[in-house]
Amino acid sequence: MNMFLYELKAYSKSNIIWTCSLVVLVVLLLSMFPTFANEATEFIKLMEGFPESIRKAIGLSLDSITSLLGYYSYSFTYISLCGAIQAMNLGTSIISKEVREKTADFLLTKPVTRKQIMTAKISAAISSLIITNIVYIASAYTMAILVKIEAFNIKTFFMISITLFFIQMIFLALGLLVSVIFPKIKSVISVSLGTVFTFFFIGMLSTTVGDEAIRYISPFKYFEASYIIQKGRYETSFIVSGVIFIIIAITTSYLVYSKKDIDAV
Amino acid sequence: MIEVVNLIKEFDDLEALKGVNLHVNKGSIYGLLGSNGAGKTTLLKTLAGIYKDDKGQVTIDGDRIFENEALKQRVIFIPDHLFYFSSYTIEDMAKFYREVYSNWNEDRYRSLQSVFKLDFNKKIHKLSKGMQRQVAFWLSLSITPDVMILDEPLDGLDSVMRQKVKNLLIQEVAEREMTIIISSHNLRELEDLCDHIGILHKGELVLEKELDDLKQDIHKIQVVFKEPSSRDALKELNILYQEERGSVLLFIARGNKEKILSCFKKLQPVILDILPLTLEEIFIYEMGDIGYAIENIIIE
Repeated sequence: MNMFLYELKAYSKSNIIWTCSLVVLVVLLLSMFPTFANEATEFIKLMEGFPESIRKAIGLSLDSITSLLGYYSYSFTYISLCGAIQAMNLGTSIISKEVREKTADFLLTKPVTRKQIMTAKISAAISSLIITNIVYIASAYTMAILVKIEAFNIKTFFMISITLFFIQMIFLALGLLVSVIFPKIKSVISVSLGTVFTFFFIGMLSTTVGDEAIRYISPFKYFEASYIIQKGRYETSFIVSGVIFIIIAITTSYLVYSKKDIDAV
Repeated sequence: MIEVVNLIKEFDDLEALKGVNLHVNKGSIYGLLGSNGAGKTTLLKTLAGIYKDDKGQVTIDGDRIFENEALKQRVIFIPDHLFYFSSYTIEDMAKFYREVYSNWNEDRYRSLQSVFKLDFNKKIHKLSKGMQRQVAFWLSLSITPDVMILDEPLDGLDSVMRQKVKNLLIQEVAEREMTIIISSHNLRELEDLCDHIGILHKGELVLEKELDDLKQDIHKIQVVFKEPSSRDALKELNILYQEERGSVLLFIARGNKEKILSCFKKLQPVILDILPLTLEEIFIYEMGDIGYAIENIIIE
């Protein structure tokens, strides 16, 4: 419990910053909606001038963009990008922070197992993400109510919003895996930015190419807003592969961490 | 007690320990000496359960320490780089220890305050390096450990505090038969504290001795003869070193004091003195060639 609280506290500063950025981002994007909706016809005309592949790549669907949910799901692409960086950062820093700050030396001599240490760290990280998401969804929802022009499907709105958490969980697990395998990472931010953007571009590519298989590679494409809006549910196969990845990554991290020397030199 | 058998520890491209054997008896204070990079910290970290003993065996009371919670309850490690949770006060840190260690002794913790005279509610990271080290000792002694593993623990303490800490440690050993293994690169620092000494050199333990044994067994003899005479009588002695300083001859010999004296007396010297060696001298003569390599540890 003690370790968990310490870890939570240690992440709190960066967590607050990231949460604020996400809130600012969603407030900013949604506040533009009324203006945008008023001039939608002109915007669509302008956009039609772009090649279809580019429109697809940036997640723009002209049929739905004028509705609040359509606009929101377009904005959500960038919100999830920001959220993914936060989660990847968090995941990567779990172990590498240990190594840099010599916490490992301290905790490993205490009568606690490596498993307990890992559990405290992972649950603190997940709790941080949960807090972020609660704050994010609350502000996104408030904002949506404020800017709406006509009624929208609240359930769908929440279903889209909560995918932020799913995506973050996947990147948290990925970051964790990376940091366990390469514990001597000096610069967390460059590793996480690099990885997240790579997956983001793979996601863009997959929409352009239209290949289903590539979608599995990029977590950004696991939860397509257009599908959620149409069908009112998630795509099972992607949920399954997401969950499997998270389980594998976390289990592997546990195994590697409990066997490995954490070299704090 | 603490038993290390043929411990080999390798890092990526470095063989830090090359088959170390080491024994520490219960209630003993064991000084681990070695120059920088000799492998002291690696050995101690393996003893503390930070590193895994992948080749060889490290046991405390017959149990392996790695991932052994029950054993770690009784073993405390004070590293050379101290770590405290950021912005924690001494009391906060004590709370952490209280929760983690079942044998935490609250009375001891309160009473030790009079020794260290630090405020319970002081933020640890605002204390000086030496004071932080005192906090480490304070907290560690409060859990009444059976084994203390100390990596260069006296660095940064002023001489008064150094003596206080040494006294506390000796007291614990005398009263509760606590076992201590303590590392240093300076023999003088440990001379008045340890009863056993081990010297680690380039990843190998080149010497392990009881200090009293060492001191009893080796002698410095100053002698002046009336005239140059045959020294055949000395051949039966184990002479490690000899030197002439004008008319005074200096011998370092190993063996029984009486026997050495009687041998010299046969040569009817004008002056004959037998003197104890300082620990520093003992090590240098004892170690022979390696002696030169480790001289800097001892003399400094």
